[in-house]
Amino acid sequence: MTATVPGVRRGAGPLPRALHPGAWWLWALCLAVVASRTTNPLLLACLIAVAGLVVARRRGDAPWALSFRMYLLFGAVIVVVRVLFRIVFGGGGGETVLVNLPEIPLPEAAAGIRLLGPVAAEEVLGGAYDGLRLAAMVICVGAANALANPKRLLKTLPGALHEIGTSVVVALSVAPQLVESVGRVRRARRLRGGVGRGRRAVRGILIPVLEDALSRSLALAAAMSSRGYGRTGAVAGGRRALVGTLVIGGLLGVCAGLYGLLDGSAPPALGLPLLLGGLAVAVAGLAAGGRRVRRTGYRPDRWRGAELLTVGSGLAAALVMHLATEIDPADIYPSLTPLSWPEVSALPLAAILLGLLPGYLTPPPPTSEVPA
Amino acid sequence: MIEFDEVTFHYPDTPRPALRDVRLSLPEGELCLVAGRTGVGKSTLLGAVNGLVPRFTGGRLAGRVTVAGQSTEERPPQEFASLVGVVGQDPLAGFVTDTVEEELAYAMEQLAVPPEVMRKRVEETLDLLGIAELRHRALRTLSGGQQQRVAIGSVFTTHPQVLVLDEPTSALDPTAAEEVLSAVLRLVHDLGTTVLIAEHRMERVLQYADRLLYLPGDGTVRDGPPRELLPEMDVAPPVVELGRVAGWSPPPLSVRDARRHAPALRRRLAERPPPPPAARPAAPAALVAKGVSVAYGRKVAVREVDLDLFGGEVTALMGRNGAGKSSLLWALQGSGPRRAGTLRVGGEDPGEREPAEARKLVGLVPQSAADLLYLQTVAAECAQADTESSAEPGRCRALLDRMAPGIGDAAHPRDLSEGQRLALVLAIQLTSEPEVLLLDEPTRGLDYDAKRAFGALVRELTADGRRTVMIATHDVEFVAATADRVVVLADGDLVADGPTAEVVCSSPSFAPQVAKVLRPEPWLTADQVRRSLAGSAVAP
Amino acid sequence: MARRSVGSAALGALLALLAALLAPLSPASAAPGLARPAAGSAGFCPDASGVTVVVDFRELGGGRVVRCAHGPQADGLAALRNAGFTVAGTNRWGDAFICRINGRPGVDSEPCVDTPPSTAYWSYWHAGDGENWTYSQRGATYRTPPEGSFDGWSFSLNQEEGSAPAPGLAARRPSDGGGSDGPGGAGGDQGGAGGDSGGPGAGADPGGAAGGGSSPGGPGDAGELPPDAESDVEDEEREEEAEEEPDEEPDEDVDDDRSAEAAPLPTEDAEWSGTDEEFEEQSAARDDSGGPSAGTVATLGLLVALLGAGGLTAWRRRRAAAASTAGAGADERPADER
Repeated sequence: MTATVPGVRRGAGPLPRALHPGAWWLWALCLAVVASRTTNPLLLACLIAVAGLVVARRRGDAPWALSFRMYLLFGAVIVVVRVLFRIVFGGGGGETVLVNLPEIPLPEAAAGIRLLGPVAAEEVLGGAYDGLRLAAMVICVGAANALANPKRLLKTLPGALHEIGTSVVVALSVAPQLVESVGRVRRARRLRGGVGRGRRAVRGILIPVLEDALSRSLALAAAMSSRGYGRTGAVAGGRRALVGTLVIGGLLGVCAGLYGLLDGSAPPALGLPLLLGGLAVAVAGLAAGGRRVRRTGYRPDRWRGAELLTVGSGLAAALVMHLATEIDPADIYPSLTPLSWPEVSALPLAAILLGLLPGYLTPPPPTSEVPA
Repeated sequence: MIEFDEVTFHYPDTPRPALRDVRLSLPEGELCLVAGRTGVGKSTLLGAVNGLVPRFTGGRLAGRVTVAGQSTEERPPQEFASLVGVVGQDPLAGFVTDTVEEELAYAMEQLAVPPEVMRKRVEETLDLLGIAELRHRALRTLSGGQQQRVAIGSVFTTHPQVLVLDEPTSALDPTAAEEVLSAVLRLVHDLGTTVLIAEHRMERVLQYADRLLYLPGDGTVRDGPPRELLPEMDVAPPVVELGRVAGWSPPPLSVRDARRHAPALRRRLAERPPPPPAARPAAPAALVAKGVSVAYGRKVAVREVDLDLFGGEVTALMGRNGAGKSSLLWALQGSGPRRAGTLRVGGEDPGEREPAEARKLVGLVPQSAADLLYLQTVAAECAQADTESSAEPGRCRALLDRMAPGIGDAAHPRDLSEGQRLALVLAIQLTSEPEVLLLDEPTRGLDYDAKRAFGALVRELTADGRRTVMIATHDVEFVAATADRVVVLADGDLVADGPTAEVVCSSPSFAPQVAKVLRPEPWLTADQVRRSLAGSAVAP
Repeated sequence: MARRSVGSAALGALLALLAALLAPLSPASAAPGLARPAAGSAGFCPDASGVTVVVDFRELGGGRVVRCAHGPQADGLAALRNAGFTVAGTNRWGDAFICRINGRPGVDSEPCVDTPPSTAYWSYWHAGDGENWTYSQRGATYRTPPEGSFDGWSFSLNQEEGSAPAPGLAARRPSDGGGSDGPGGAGGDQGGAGGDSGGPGAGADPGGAAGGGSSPGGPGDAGELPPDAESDVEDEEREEEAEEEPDEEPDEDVDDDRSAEAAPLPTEDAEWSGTDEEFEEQSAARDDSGGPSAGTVATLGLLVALLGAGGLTAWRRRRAAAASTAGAGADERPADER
């Protein structure tokens, strides 16, 4: 059926390209929601493995793409700290005692707090489950970070927020420069035999570094202005003030609305209506601001099938997980008293496996490597 | 294209104007070289073109500057982005994004150029400046020449009619400078861009300039074709000096010009060979390095270098940007990392001494010399240096007065001129009386006069025959005038080591202009020729 | 490659740790479900040497369960446990925050991951013998119930803050209900010494405790009703039942006790029971065969497969990148000296 054209290889899959960063972030946030809905260590481990596999298959070659393993380590640290905390402070104890550590006596005022003492399996596992849940959420964010350049995400901000986005980008690049500057000045101090102590030594490093930073920022500000940053065009000041008021007022409304929504005791009027109203005002402000100065994006990221699929798989995972908590919550929050093996039912596992789809169905990332 | 109409500019709180009654009219498509000594207002003139002066610097500007009919008075610099592209001295400080492609697109994004056009222009610019293979690279990993070309490209994508370059090649080695200048020339020749370029090393640009803007120092700007202006200028590249010495008229602007006159001069000089290199003193080496290697992780910066430095000798350390010169200097001083090798200075290894002891053996002036200064006044810095070196009070100040007389005690170190600041740092480092002095790129930002004075100072430091000086530099003219010996480092390896004339004249990129003109005779500087001719005038 | 493997090794170690923790427990966890005899004894404590624990499941659709933890108790949690109740804390805070008693509320309404909401939680009460229930200002692990006193647990569902329902049963030991004033007075004193917040209430009304002995049941019960019980019709009905019934039966109990001093205390009553039948049935129904189920093992297999695939992909990419940089990137070194 398929005619083989010489020189054309069929079936090699879609052309490599980078996905819209927003798609990866939404996917990852959905996975984080899934993680927040369970304490089952098996499900959480599967979720971490799924995120890791997708990262391994779809990350680019840029430096930020290598940050994922830092998040993995961070996750491990979270779990270990949680467990240690539980052991040291005794927690609520449990009945299945693993080890009897000597208890450190505390004064009467600290009644109820126990240092060390018997270590029960329930408390260790409780700490581990809870830590693993948080670790899985952190690792999901790490996956988004590794899959999508956060700076590119800032570029997709609406026009009215462009200045803020640029400031964030610049601030992010200042940190490594400061580190480099400190290193250089510290080396220079040694040339003067300067291993001075205390205030003088700090001053010897701080003053050149600050002067350096100041002159750099002035140079950067001049360079950015002469390249058109902060162009206001011919817009009246009153209009700009209006846009600012709309955006800030709208965002305040969104904050208050969210608070109302999340706090059950708040009056209902404070919830959804305020949230939606604030959102509308903010969007209007952004739109008005976006129109005031036109900017364009270089190589803009577009939403295409693969992006929709990525977001869809994340949303589906979150929905199925929600369904699972409604239908059969027992295995999603495994019991610690009595202790038992965590059971896994099909529905939550299916939710997690849905998150794996983008790893296989989206186009692979383009490689910057030179073909050998 | 650019009009200055009776422009006078005062910086805040200064009685003397930085620019006075400047009246200029620069036509389209010309390459204008802005020349003058340090501190005469070259950067001020360049900044006024797109309104950064006075909008960023403060101060008072009278008169009117217009570019393509747009006045800087009425519109902020942002609105000039499509008309004037400005590139500063340190390209890295002006980068907004991280990668080459995004940096090229940044200005266009601000101007709302449609994406399709943007894409096309980025590709064109990548080709035009020869940086296509760098497109995905992170800006920080590029070499100095590549960064400078990206910076030029990043302002060029908006197709400005004027390009303003402030010292674009001062930090670059000769080869990288050539790359940058040829890119600029392509813009001038192929696209008719007007280019305004300020450069201390006039020898690199003068031959391409259609017009010279000379700032004599009183705030005025003289404007004219190079040949007319050159005779009266107090800054001139070596080839012009040679022309003056030999009495050629009109003065040659390039090595090619000069070589037409060269046969006659060579004949005149035939019976007077250039002075032989000074014999190396018989004293034992002041610094002995054997197998010194520096590595950062798996990247080898310096590989097994053997080097002896002798008292009374000035050694130049040359090589491309990133060849390992700074790493070698820091390793020799003892405070930088050293992977392997031995080091002996007066029987001791400075790398094993405390920093305060090491600086008595080897002094180093780093590339950013200002990093060493952190106090409020010159007097405080000098007193601190005396304490640090456990020297008698006043030694540093005495050294400073000998090198750069007339610096007030109360002056702030950051307010000094480049040359004065260099002298101050040098005085601080010499207070501990090291036998070995290492200097990293000291001539950056010095004009011809200051460089000449600095060269004389270096010679004086080694005059006692005990001290040795090694200078890492790209400045071939300075090396030709000052150094006895040249060491060339390439990719961490020591590839050449010998008397200056021998090493320098045999290399096309390191040869000074006079050597290029008088090849194959090993003349290095116009001064040598002048002395020789003066001698011959007396002799017959 | 090395750093990558550090990351996956960390993950692997984590899972191994979890598995190691779970493995030795599985035989142990098989037993406690049912085989372990419930601690304590059903019904009220026979004397002043134990703590009577009353758990009110009515808001959760159950009854009241009364059991006794014999001997002195370290804290409220220990009393609850030693009386034979199964307690589950939250994942985050451990047993310090009691989330479930005898498996209720079920996992479908309360995951017990974080602190339960103020609209559905177990409220903790205490009382001396014959006293009114006092809402405890301290957590169960922070309070030591005096011997002979009463600990009460009542589930508070959808109540306004500060108006959790008290356990709907009088805090009164039937054995000494009509007995001498001594034990009652002693109980009051002990209550005063036992809890800071409970102190004033108990201390202010010692006579009430003693006098209450002569007219047990009705009045006491009525006094313990939550003031806003009428907010919910169902609640009201339930309260009414609670109000009416005690009029007869406790009296009988008391009479019985009086007539036969040595007779064992009842372990069941119309309005309370000594064992939580529902929970026992559930525990019996649960399959506690021990080791992990087939589904768990299959999931573990899937996990290993996912990890293997991820590791392999990462390793391949590393190797490809290393090969291409070794081949092409040699001349494009960054300038290190800048």
